[in-house]
Amino acid sequence: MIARILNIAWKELLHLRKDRVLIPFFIIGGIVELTLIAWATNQPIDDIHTTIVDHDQSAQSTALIDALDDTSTLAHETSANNAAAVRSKMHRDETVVGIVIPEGYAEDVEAGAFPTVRLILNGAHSVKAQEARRAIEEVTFEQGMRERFNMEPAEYAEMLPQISVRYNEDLERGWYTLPAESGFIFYLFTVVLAALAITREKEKGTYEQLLVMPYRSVEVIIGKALAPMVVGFALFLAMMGLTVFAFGVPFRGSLPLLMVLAIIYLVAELGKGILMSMLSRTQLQAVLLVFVLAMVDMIFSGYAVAVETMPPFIRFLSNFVAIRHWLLIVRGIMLKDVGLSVLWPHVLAIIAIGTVILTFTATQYRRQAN
Amino acid sequence: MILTHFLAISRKELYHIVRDPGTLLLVTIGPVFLMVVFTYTLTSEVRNAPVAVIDQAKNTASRDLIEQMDTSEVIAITDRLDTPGEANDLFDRNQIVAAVIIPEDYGTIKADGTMSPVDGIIDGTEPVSAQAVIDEISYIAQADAEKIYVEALGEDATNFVRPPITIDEEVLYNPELDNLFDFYPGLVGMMLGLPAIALAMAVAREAEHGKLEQLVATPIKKRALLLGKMAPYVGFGMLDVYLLLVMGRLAYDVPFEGSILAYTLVAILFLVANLGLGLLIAVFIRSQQVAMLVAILVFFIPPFFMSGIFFPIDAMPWIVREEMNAFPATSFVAISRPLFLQGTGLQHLWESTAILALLAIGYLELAVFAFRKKVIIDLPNPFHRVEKAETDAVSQRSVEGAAQ
Amino acid sequence: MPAETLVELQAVGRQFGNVAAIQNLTIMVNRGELFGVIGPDGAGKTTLMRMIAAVLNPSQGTITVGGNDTVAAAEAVKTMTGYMPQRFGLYADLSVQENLAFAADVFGITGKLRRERMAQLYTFSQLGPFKARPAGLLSGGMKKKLGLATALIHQPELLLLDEPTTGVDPLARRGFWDLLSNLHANGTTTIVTTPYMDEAERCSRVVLLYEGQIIACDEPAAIKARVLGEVVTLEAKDMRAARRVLEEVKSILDLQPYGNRLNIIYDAEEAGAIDHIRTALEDANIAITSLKSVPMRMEEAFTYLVNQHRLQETV
Repeated sequence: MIARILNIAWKELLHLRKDRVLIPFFIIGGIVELTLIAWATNQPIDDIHTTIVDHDQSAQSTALIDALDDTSTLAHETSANNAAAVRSKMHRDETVVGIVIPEGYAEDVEAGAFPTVRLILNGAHSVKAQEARRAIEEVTFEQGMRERFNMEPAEYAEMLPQISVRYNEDLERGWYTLPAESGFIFYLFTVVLAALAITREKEKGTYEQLLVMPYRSVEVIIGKALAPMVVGFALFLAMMGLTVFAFGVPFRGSLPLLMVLAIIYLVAELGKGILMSMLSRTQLQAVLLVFVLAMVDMIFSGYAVAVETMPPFIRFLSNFVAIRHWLLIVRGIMLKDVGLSVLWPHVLAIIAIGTVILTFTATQYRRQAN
Repeated sequence: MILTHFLAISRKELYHIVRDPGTLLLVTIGPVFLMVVFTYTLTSEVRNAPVAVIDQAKNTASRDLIEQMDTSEVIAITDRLDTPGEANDLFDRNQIVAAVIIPEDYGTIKADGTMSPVDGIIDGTEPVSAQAVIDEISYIAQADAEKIYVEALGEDATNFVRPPITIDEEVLYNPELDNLFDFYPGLVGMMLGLPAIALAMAVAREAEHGKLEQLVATPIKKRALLLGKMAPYVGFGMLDVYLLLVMGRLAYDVPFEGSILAYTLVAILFLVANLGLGLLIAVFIRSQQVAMLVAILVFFIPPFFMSGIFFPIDAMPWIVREEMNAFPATSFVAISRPLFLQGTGLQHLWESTAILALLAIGYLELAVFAFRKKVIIDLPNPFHRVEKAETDAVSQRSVEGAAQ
Repeated sequence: MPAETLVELQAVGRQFGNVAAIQNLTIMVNRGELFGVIGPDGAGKTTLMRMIAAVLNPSQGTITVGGNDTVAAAEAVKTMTGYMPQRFGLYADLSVQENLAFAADVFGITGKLRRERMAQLYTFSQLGPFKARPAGLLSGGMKKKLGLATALIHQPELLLLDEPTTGVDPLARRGFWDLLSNLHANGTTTIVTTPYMDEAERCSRVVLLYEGQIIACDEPAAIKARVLGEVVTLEAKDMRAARRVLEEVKSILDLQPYGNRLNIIYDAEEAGAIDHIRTALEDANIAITSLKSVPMRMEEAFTYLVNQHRLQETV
C-alpha cells in the first residue's frame, strides 16, 4: 500500500515540477503579499490633516496649539476663520480634523473653570479621525493638567486606570496579520494544488484510467495529496521564516509542535481540495471553486479581526471551519507560547472536521469509480 | 462599419456572459458576495468582547462599576474571578480578551486625596479589537472614578474630576465613526476588479479555445473588437455599482450623500479604465489560468494595500504614490469616498477625475495599439528535451499514419 | 480563358525559433482552382494557410492575394478571403443562426442581401433544420459545414480551409467534399489542406508538402505519372524474409509496407514485373499468399516521392 501511494505521489511531484505558472505565482505572490502586509500594517497613521481655528489668540491658546503640533499624529496644515469654514473645507475633502479654540479660553484656564474646545471630525475618514481623537484627548488632558494644576503626566499617571497589554505589547497589527497570512497562503496553496491533481487527469483524459486501476480510494487520495503537502509545507516554512526573521514577529512557543499540528491541519484540508477537483471538469473551474471556498472560509477564520468579537452566530459557525482553529493554533504557539494542554480542543476539532471531509471525499471517489 | 462591428461583438459577448453560469455569477452577484466577505473579515465591529472581572473590593462602588461595564455593548462580562492569576488560563484559551481588576480599596478616597484606580489586562494579539476594548474600559473606569470623586469632594475637587479641558465633539458624515463607512466606497471599487478579471479571462478563453484565430482573419476593426468585448462588462459593472450602493444603504446603513449622476460618471470612467487594463493584460496573455492569476495580482493586491482604502497612503514616498496612480482604483478611492459620504462635488475632485479619464482612454488605446490581428505561436520550450523527443516521435508516427 | 493568378507565393519561408516550418516555397494558385495542400502532420500545412490568411507573417519571401501583400495590406486580404482554421473557430454557445449572423455582421453583410445569403447557405449546407441549435451540440461533420457556411457568407474571392475533414467520419467527409466540388464548379477559388491522400484526388491541383518543402506541385494525375513505376501488392507468410529478398531486386524502386501487405513499386520500363517478383520469391522459397498488380494511387505516389526526397537528402 505504501509503495503504491508513493508511486502516485512521485508522479504528482513530477507534474508539479513542470508547472511554471501556479507554483511561481504562489511563491512570489506569497512573499510579495507578506511584505506588503508587513509594510502596510507598519504604516503609522501620522500627519493627519488638521485645521485650527483660534478665536482666542492668547498665550494659552498658542501653547495648546504648540502642544498639538508636537504630536506626530496631527499635521497642522491650515488655519481657518471659523467653524463654518472648517466644515466647508471638510465638504471639499480638504481636511480631516478641525479644532476650534473659543474666545475666552485663556480666561477660563486662568479662572480655573473648564474651558471647552470644539473638535470637528470628518467621519468619512474614520480611521484617521479615531486616531486624531485619541491624540487630541491625550494632548488636551496633559495640557489642561499642566495649565490648571501644574502637574506633569508622571505625577498623576498612577491615578488613571492601569491598563497593561499582553502578548502583543505594542499592539502591532503585523503581529496578528502576518502569522495569519502565512497560515492562509499555506492553506490556499495546498488546497489549490490538490484541487488540480485530479482535474489535470480529467483534462488529459487519464482520469477514467485511474478510476479503473486497482488502487483503493484512500491510496489515490493520499497519493494525490502527498506532493502538494510537501511543496506546501516548504512554502509554509519559508513564509514563517520571513515572518519571524525579516518582519520581527516573535516566535515564543514550540516549533516542533507547530510543525506537527501543521501536518494534521494539512491532511484535514487536503480532502477539500481533492473533493473540489472531483466536482470540477477543468483545472480552471477547480481553482475558481477553491477561491470561492477560501473566501467563505476567510469570513469565519478570524483572518484580520478576532472571531471572539464577532456576532454570536458567526462565532458559532466558525467552530466548524478548520482554518479558524488552525489560525488560533498558529497565533497561540507564536505569541502566547501555549502548548497542547490548551490547544487540544482545536486539534480535536480539526481532526473531526478533517475526518468528515475525507470520508465524504473517499465515498465520492468510490461512487465515481463505479 | 465600425459601429456594426462593435454591436456584433458586444452582442456576442453578452451571449457568452449570460449563457455561462460561472461568468454570469462572477459579474452579477460576485462583487456582492465578495463585499460581504470583505466587510465581515475586515471591519467587524467589536461587540460583546468577553471580559473577566476580578472584584477585590466587593463593595457598593465596585458593584456599581461592574454594572456600568455590564451595560456596555462593546464588552460583556463573562467570568468573575477571585484572583488575577486565574485569568492567565482564560487568556491562553482565548476565552477572554481582557481582565479588569478592581482594587480592594476602590471607592475610598485616601488621605492624599486620591483613589486607587482600576487595573486592566488586555490580550493584545488582535490589536484592532484590543484598542477598542482598551478605549471602552478606560472610558467606563474614568467616568466612574469621576463620579466617585465628585460625590466625595464636590464639583470643586482640585484633583482631576473630569478632563480639565472639555472636548465638544462634532463628527460629520459618520457620527459613530464606523470604519465600515470609511472603507465601503473604496471597497466598491475593489469589487469592480471582478468584471475586469472576467473580461481578461474571456479574452484569454477566446484565444485558448482557438476562436481568436478565426476572428483575426476577418476584416474586423481592432478598436471595435476590444470596445465591443468591453461594453457588456461595463454594463454589468454598472449593475454591480448600483447593487452595491443599495446593499450599502440597506444592509450596512452606509449613507450616500453625493450626486448619483456624478457618481455614475466616475464609476463609468473607472470601469472603462479598469476593463481597459484588463484588456491590456489579456492582449499579452493568452491562457486563462495565467490571465486570472495576473489579474488577481493587478486588481486586488495593489488596491488592497496601496490605494488608500484601508491603509493611509499619505505617508508613502511620493514616487510610489505617483506610480499607484497608474492603478485606476487609487483615483476611484480618492474620488468616491468624499463623493459618496460627504457629497463633495466633482469640481473639488477634478484632479483625480482627470487622472481617471486619462487612464480610461490611455489603457484602451494601449490595448488597441498592442493588439495584433495575428496568430500567436507558442514556441516549444527549449528546456524540455523530453518533450521535444516526444513530439518528434509523434510526427514520425503521423508520417507513417498518413501514408497508410 | 487564360488562367489568372490569384495567390502568389514567392520564396516564402517561416521559422519558429530555430525550427523551419516552411522553406523556400514558390507557388501560384489561379482563380477557379480547387487547390490541395497535402502532407502529413508537421509538414507545415497550417503555417502555410495562416500565412496566406494574413494572420501570420512569413519570415522570408512575399505572399500576395489578388495583388495585395499579406503583410502590408493584411486587412485587404482578410476582406477578400474566407478562412476556416483547423480548430473549430465558431462559438459553441451561440446557435447556428447566431454564428452565421455574427459572421455577416463582421463582413458588413446587412439587410436584404444578408437574408438572401443566409437562406442560400442554409440550403447549401443543409443546416436549415438546426438553425436554433447551439453550435457546440452539432456533430463533427455539421460543425465543419457551419464553419464552411460562415466562411462563405461574404462570397470571398478565396476560400481557405485548413484540414476541414480531420476528425470527421468517412460519410461526412464525402458530403463535405461534395460541397467543395459544387463550389469548384461554380468557380470559387479554394485552397484546402488535408492529410488524406484520397481527398487529393478530388483537387484540380495539389502541392505535396513534406517538412516544409515542396515535394511536388501539379495535377493529381501528373503527380502519379511522375512515378515511373507500377504497383504490385504482396501478401506472404514471412514478410520479413520477403522484404529481405526484394530489397536485392534491382528493378524495384520502392518498398512500402502497409500493415500485413507490401506495396512494391516496380520500374515501369521493365516488362513483366509480377513475374520477376514471383520468381525472385520462389527462388528463395518464400510462400506467397497473394500477389497482384494494382492501380497507382496518390498514397503510393506520395510515399514514393517522399522516400526519394529523403534518399536525396541523405546523399
